Amino acid sequence: MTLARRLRLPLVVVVAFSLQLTVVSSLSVHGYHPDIMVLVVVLAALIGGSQRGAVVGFVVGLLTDLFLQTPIGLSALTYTVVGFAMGSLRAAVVDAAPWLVPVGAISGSALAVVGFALLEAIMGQPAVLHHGLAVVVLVVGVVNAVLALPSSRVLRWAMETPGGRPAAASAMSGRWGTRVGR
Amino acid sequence: MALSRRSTRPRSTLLLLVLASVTVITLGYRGGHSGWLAGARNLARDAFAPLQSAITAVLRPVGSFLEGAASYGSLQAENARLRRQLTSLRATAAQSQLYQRQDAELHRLDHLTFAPTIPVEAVADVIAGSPSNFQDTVELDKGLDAGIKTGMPVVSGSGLVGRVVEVSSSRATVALVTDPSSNTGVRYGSAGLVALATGQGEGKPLQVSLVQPGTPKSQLFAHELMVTSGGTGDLYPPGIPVGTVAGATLPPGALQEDVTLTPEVRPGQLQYVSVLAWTPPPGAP
Repeated sequence: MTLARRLRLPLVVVVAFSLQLTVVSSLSVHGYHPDIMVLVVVLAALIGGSQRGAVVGFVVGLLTDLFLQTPIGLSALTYTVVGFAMGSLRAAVVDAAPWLVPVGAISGSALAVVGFALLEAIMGQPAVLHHGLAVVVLVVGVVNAVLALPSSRVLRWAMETPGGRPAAASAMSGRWGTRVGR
Repeated sequence: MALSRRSTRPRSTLLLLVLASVTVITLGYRGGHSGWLAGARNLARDAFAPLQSAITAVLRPVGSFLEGAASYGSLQAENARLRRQLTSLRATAAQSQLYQRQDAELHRLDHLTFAPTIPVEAVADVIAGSPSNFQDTVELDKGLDAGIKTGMPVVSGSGLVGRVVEVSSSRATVALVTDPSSNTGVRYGSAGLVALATGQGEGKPLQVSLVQPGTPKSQLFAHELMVTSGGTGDLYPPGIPVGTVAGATLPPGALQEDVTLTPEVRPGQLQYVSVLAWTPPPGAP
């Protein structure tokens, strides 16, 4: 794989994170904002598999942690598990259809939001486990579900191997991962 | 055998990454705000600073334009030429409104009606919000280079915004009064009674705990202004407006009123803020 191709995924992550910091975080629905970094992790896992999903989750989580006041590593841990779980979901589904992308985005978002809130509560911030948590899950999940299909094209481009298929999907020809966004 | 090795590899990766995350969390806890992880945080903020500024500069006029366009109502019946003309005028008007708003904000920051004895360390631009839904913070475009230090209060022309909790050479993070971890000592009434205002997240009122044992009725009146108490060990100097009383009810059987406070500052509308040259006394929480 060429260097330019290898840099696609980091580029997508950096651009998505910059948008999250500047634009997305200023959009407010009932006091909460969407979280497109979860979507990046979920799509990377659905396209690249559980191993790649976990690695992308760890890196994206660590990057997010650098901009939060919570202990560094909380988002990394949450997103690693989300990436692995979503990658495993892809592996478990034999005849998956494109509609599983938004469904994966919703379930991955819910897992990320609730998982992070639980970890933060364990680390001494029980206030985050309030009734608004359901609204956060709804806002993040619905927005990510809407953005999932168009964004999956970008992630597929970022994770494409020279053969024209995402890294893990090339080893699983005929599976759903190769059809996402096409 | 090869198949077995392939299937266990993702699990080994997961285990390795989970262990790495737990290690980082532990190291972060032990290092607090001074370890190498804190240094990494500052480095990351500075590295993203130019990109953040560029995106904010590009998208702010677009947002203002859309805001301006939305306020004009439906113009579906207009023909294409008029629409183009109107669009151009809207852009100009929105830009003009933006400049007027910025000018008014800067004027108010130059003539603060509270904390007159405390000099302003820096006037900064709010360039980003928090990437998380579980904390209420904003990012300023200035940091250590502008003299900003951790703990300094941040105000707008109308009142308290929050305090600086992280600072790198070119960026500062401000925990807003609405952040769930934020506790602000407040004073109200002619007798100068003291209470504690706690954040409940963006868009929600502050929850006030009245510090008056044995007096369940506080005799608060609607829209009463509460200001920072500035007591010993407080995080803020006295006299900065925090918010106005939104509601005060005494639930049946309760010993204390349920009081909520509408913050004076709306974080979503912040653009310019002043960082005051004041730091909390040593030992403040």
